[in-house]
Amino acid sequence: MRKKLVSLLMGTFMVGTLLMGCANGQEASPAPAAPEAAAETAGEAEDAKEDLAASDIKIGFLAPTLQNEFFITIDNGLKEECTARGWEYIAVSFENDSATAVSSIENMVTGQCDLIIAMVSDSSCDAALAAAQAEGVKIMECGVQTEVYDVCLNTDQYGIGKEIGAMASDWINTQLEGAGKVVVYTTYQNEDMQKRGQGIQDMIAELAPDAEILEVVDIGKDVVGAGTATTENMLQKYPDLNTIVSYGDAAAVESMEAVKAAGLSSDDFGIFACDGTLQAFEGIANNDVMRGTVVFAAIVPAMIEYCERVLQGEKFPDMISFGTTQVTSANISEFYTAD
Amino acid sequence: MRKEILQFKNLSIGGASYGKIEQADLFIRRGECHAVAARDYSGQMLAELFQGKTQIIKGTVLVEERQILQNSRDIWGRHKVFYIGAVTTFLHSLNLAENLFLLRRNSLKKVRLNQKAIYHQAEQMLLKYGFQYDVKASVDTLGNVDRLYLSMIRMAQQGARLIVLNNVSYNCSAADRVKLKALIERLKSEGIAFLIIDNHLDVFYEQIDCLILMDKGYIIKKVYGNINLCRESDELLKRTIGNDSMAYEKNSEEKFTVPYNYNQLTVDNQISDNEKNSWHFTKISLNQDQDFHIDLTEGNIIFVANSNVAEQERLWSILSYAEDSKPVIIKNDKILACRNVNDLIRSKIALWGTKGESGHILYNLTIEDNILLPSLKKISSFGGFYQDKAKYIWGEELLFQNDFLEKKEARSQEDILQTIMYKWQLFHPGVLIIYNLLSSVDARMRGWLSEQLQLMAKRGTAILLLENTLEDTISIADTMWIVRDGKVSVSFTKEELITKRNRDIMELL
Amino acid sequence: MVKETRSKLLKVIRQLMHNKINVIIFIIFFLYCIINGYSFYTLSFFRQFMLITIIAAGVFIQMLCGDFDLSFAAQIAASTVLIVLLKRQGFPIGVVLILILAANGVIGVLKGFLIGALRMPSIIMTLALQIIFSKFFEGLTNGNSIMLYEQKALYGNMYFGLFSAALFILLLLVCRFFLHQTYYGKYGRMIGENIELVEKSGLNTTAILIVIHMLASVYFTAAAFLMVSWTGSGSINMGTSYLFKVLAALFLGGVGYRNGKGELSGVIIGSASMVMLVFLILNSGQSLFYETIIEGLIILWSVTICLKK
Repeated sequence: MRKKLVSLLMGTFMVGTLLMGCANGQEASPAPAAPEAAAETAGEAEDAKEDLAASDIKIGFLAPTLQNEFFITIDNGLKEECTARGWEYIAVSFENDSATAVSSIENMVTGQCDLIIAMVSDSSCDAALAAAQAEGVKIMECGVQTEVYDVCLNTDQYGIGKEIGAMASDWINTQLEGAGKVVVYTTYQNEDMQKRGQGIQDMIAELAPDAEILEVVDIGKDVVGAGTATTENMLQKYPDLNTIVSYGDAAAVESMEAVKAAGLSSDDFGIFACDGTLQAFEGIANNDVMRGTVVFAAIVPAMIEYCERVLQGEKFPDMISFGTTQVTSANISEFYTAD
Repeated sequence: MRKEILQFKNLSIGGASYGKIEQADLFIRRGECHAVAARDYSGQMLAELFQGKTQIIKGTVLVEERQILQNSRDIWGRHKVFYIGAVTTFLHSLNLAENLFLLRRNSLKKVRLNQKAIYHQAEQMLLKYGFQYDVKASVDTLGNVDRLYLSMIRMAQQGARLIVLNNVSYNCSAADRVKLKALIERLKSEGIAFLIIDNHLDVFYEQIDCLILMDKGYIIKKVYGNINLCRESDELLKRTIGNDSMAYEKNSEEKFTVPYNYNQLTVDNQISDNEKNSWHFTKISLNQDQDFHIDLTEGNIIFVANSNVAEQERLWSILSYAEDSKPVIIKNDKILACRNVNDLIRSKIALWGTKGESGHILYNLTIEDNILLPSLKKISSFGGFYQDKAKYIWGEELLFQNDFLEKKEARSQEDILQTIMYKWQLFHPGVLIIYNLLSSVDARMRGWLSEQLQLMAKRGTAILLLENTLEDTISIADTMWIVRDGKVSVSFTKEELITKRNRDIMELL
Repeated sequence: MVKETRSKLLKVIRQLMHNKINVIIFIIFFLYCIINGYSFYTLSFFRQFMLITIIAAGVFIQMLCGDFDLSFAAQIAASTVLIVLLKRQGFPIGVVLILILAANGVIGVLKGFLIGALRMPSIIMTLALQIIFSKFFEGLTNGNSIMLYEQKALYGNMYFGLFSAALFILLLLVCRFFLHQTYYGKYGRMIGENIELVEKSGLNTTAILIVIHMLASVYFTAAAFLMVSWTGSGSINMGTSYLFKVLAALFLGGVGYRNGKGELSGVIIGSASMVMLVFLILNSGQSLFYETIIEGLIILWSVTICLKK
């Protein structure tokens, strides 16, 4: 019994000591980068740049999923860019599970990552990110803005929704003379996507007042196959449906295939979305029912640029917005060629 | 006057696999040992009652004057009436002491388990009955007989009033039988009653207080208290088997006659020994010192009797590829590539294990399909079509007459055994290894099986019998080996077996 | 003396051989860390290890009695949502924990009853429960994380660290006590090996299974509580990635499938191996898809071995 008690006490002490060790580190958890730090001198940045080139850099990419073209594109782009610079690169998908995200952040810190690109969806990983910062790891938040970051690249989701809505309204007004019968694909499972969906609806109501929004459908977040299934249902439910506006290209591309399969492919059917995926571009270029998408200013180069700048010691207390461009048949040639 | 433990008053039970028991009256008192001798499966029907498999249709069942209204094993357990079948299972995740103490009814109110007390009590308990086992040891190495003793002791400790033993003697060696009888005597002296249903009642003549003779589900006679009378009655019953209209009529053209076409398929006896196929099973390590080997020749029947039942279990286990150490099989000087049971079947070596039925029958298939199963590959044409050949097989009555097939489903033990026998006859294996099949069935079925095995041997199958019973086995064997400590201690030829008496051979065991 | 040392040495070697896959993972992990200069004694390793071990201990208790639980991850996720929802309603944490324990206890009763009394195959039953939990709470939360805005995550808090370590050790001791010193622990193993024999022996298997599943639910509650505390949020996706990790950890630890075999030490070793494996895969630059593939392979391999035995 005594032995067991001693073991118990020793075990508690050992684990506790370890926890305290970390907690001490955590106490120095930094707040978001102070604004005054932004006023670094150009000379200091130049020195850091030299250091950056000389040292081994390891970048960790924390993605909510790697089964979606948008994230796969980013992952591939980052991998290429990092390899080109001689940096080590690791990526992990946490499957929208915050507990796994926290573990992955810890593993990246233990694995001596210099910078973590965290595409988290909320502030549930803030404590772990702060602990990582305390260990000297730089944090780049992307697609969300929480309290812990060294640089935050984000977009105005409502604004993007409005851009999608504007494209769709423009097409409805010119092609359908305003008589659009619209279904909007949104999701309430993600705050950002919900904002996008709202932006779409508001803009259509404003710019194409004669168009009728038949239904706003929650198709889930990045659910493979949801676009196909929902579109098949919608086409049956609303035979006069002629416009589908989706929060993302993944569902839009699936919808395009479903519309083609239903034999409804015509000049008077239009699908609009966002993300600028290759399949969406193909659809627009081939004059399929895919009519428009919103493309972000090249996201990977922006990420890499800010990675370099943060690693060189620059501070970015304010969120940095991505630029966006509407892509339709009018300007598709600038983004996509069949070759 | 001793207290009555179990009473049947005008009892009728139904729903058993074999039929009904009707108008049964029975009184078993404290410390009495009753045994059932039956010409048919009446004994098994009675055994099914205690397994909770049958329904009480009419009459009264009283256990210590408390009526049992519904039949389930749980209810019998509550009334301290326990059943032990031919195969006794223990749990490998527990050690011996835990198997003794935890496999029993518990109110589940107690949470804390006192391991030390369990070991101590287990040791005391075993000591009380004169058994010595390592109570902390794993039960993996225990033989079925050990598990039988331990189960009886466990039940005694649970306050058993009546223990029903169903066909437990067949896998007991001579020495084990002595121990078993001693244990029964000891438990009887403690007031525990026994009901023994067995194909070898001769083992228990000295313990039996009342012999119940049964036929067609009826109790036809009860013989009390006299060993000689019991013996005579039992033997008379066995002798009269052939006179029963329900039973196998060995010399008539009824449904269990020897299949005439099958007779005609026997091999040419003129083949010289050199031309016959031979199988050599080697690297069978029954003990660490030496390898045991078995030589079989086409058409020969070898009967292997072990003095130690655990050794026999191990031999079967090795031959049936259930052990890590696998035998090497050489057929006509060529090593057969056998890694598992499937390979054995591919090499035309068939196995027929304990109790005959388990693992050999698929209950969701018809009798026809079960018989065809191992031979399907042989009779199927390209694309797996076998129906034409199957029609030919059934139509020509190669194996048996069609009325057996009319049953469609094999439900009773006799149907099952026949199905398996026909299955192997159609498959026509080079070697058939049999483990305690003849020992586990009644005299009537044993006679029929023996004849069928002889037919198979005539047709060229080499048969290896691992059996405990000498009855019928000796008469069909060409050679008999008595195996002791991993090697053949005595060997008998057919001529010697004819001249020797069973009792002489038993003594050698 | 020499004989004793030799037998001890042989025992150690036997143990190592028995755990050869774990030994290989341990060696690769330590070599990898040493070569790359990573410190493997960090808090993060122990935090992950604690979490996976607590969940694994719960699943282990169920698996000992032959039940293959596929719903535990969804049960944990649902618990995290409930904890946050109740906390946001203003309930004190003690009350919240009692309520969650009670809710999980009811789920334990349900599992035990369905498996014990109705003889439902555990895989099918827990698969159905998993779908029910996830879809119900997905509907309730729209699939979003629910944040405890007013309360910061306790990740890295010294006192909470000590508390979670103590809770971890307590839960392991309870598990050990349950397995070795209670009737129910033994009965669980017995049911895992041969439920029919246990029933024939006159034991109430349904009651035993209910108790066992209720105890397992305590472990899932603890895991959910730790997850919420560390992330400050609850979500229907929280902990779902642990489903295969935990099952693989158990199989790595030598927990048998339907044979009532396995020891807590194996669970601990298996969990440690799994944490190391995840770390190795992530930091070697391989996609975590490989992790899931490896987990699947471990499960397949182990179940094959168990069934073969």
